Amino acid sequence: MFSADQGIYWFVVFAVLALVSGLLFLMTPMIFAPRRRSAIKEETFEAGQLPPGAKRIRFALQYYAYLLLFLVFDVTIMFLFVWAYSFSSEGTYGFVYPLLLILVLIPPLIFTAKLSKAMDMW
Amino acid sequence: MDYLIPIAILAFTSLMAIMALESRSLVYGAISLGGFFLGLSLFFFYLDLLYLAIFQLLVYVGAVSVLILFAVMVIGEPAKKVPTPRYGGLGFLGGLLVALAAVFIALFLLFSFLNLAADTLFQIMLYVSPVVVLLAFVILFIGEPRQRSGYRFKAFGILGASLVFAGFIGVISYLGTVPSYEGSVTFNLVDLADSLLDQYGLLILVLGLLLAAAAFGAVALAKKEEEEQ
Amino acid sequence: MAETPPRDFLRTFLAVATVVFLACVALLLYLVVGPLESVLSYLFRNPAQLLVDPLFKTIVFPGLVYAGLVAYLAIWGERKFAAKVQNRVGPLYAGGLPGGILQNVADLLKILFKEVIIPRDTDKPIFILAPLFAFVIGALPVVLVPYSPTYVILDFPLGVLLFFVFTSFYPLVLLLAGWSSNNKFSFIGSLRALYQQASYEVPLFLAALAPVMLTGSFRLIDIGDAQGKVWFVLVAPISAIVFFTALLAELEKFPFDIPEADSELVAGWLTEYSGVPYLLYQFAAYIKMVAYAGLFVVLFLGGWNGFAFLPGEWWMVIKVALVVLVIISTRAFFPRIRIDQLLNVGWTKLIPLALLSIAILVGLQLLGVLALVR
Repeated sequence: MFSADQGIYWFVVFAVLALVSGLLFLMTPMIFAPRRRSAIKEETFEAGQLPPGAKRIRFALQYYAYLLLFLVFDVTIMFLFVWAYSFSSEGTYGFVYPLLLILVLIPPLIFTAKLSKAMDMW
Repeated sequence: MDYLIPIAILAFTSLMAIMALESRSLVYGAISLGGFFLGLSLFFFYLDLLYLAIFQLLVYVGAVSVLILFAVMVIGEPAKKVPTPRYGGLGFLGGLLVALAAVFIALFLLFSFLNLAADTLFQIMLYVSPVVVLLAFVILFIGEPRQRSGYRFKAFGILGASLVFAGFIGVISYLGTVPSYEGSVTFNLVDLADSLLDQYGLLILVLGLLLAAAAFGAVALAKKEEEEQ
Repeated sequence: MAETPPRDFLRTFLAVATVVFLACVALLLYLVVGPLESVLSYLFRNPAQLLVDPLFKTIVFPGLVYAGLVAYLAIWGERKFAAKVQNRVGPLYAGGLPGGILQNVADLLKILFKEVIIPRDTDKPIFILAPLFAFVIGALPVVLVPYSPTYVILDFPLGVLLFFVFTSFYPLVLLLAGWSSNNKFSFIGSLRALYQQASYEVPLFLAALAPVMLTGSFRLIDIGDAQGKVWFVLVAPISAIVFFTALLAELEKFPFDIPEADSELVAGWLTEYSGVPYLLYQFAAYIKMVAYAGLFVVLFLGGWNGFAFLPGEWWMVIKVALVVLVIISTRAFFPRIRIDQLLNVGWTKLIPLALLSIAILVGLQLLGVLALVR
């Protein structure tokens, strides 16, 4: 089932090759590079104009709604792909459902877009 | 060794699932959950259900795992950790037995489904499994006195799961065989497309409405949290 | 998590990595030794056979060597092009060859011997492994892109979808990298990169629907073959534009450069990465670009269909080179747009455009025009 003339075989070979070269790259400095640790080197880098404290994370969360919408659209797109696959052999009756599906999803999209603008705190 | 691939996939998936539940760190648990979804998709690939596998990968690993990981990372580790029972000797043994039993049962079901020869060895494993599970239940229920409550919780969970399994196997024994596919399990996207658009088109539309409502609700809830803060 | 000094962590990691490395090399040798023997056996009798051997395809063309070479030239090209446009010279001196082409080799050698700094209080396994995963996930799509009906490493029946699977894996790595840096700025940067990547996957997939609709198959070879009469970019130009724009966003190229913004949040989610981990991320980005450029050519620009005086693979190489050139030129030409503008455009403008293109295709089908194209 898993023989050298199948594409999946070479996919695995390629993946292992990529992994090996990545590991090579990672291991080289660990072996050869100097290790001069100091406390200041390992400080995290803090510069910029965002306010300190808890408000920082809030800035980053304002577009979370788009992620939720992304999940919804991801599922819808899978169905649309199935529809697209049969597009060339389908008659003309197959347009109604995808059309309705998309129409149904437009209100949430508009809602989310308006919402994200409203939370705009820049 | 034809069984090597499904067994390897099964081992990987089970390991990921156990790690997802038992990890100390929430982030590692979320990553393991992603790995679990990946393992499921490997099963679908093995069964030649390519579209389902891709769907699983795209939606579950690509979107659901990301959302869960995002939530876990932003919320951070809980300030007060719920004490999980450390696996001392008895607890470890109990857990190991349960895992063993689960693997036996899963292997038997897998081979029956694939119409492979579920030979005597596996049938023995199958009949031994309930005994193993009961033993694990007893051990975990007794547990170590200091952490009995945690163990008891797990013990009842195991009992519930094994009752479900037992019911399933009872049904199979009653029917005489594992219900398996008539016809081929080969990949046929055209038929899928036809049936989705034709028979199940309305159902898909209803699901779409459900998705839209869920999207509305989720986004609205998220906003409310922001305002309350 | 107990605080282990980074040096000890690095030592344990090195030990584990060496073991894994040797295991992988062993696996590789096991997998490759058979085909290698057969290659060597006919290499002297019938060398032409070498060009279509799968081992050759995987490693040389269109596999590792080719992708690596194009990525290398793209990095050099980006610096040179941006320099020329900005009235500078760009890389010039390294290595003596004209144009400073060996500059990247010099940079590579330098980075390989730089100290690996792992910041304090980070999640060290994830911190070190995230670049590795990024590299592997970025490199894998290369196997799917066909350079002609014979030159493909993995001919998957659902090639388009599998390519997008790799696309959707990348945000996970992004999140892990930013979070494990234990740096609020990095984490926020990675969140914004996540929003960008996730938001632009939707128009990317929707735009890719057009070639699938026109071909009736997800197989990339079928899609390429179907463009024998006319390239899909002429049939569905809006989809092509949307796809290319979403592609730029997925690759974090200008004008969608927010995640790596140099003047904001330092380097975004890459801030805490230096040396080889940083190198791995860059490699991942550029090899991804080669794969995506290849996908774009196959989906919209006719793939290996060209005039008959050159074999198909050559046409493919030329087209991919041109697309890569356009992608790298964006650095010189475009300003950076803000995250909210970015998300707004992605969701409210690109998605309707993609849907419009699909609607146009449906209309063309109803009018019976599409039959002329197939």
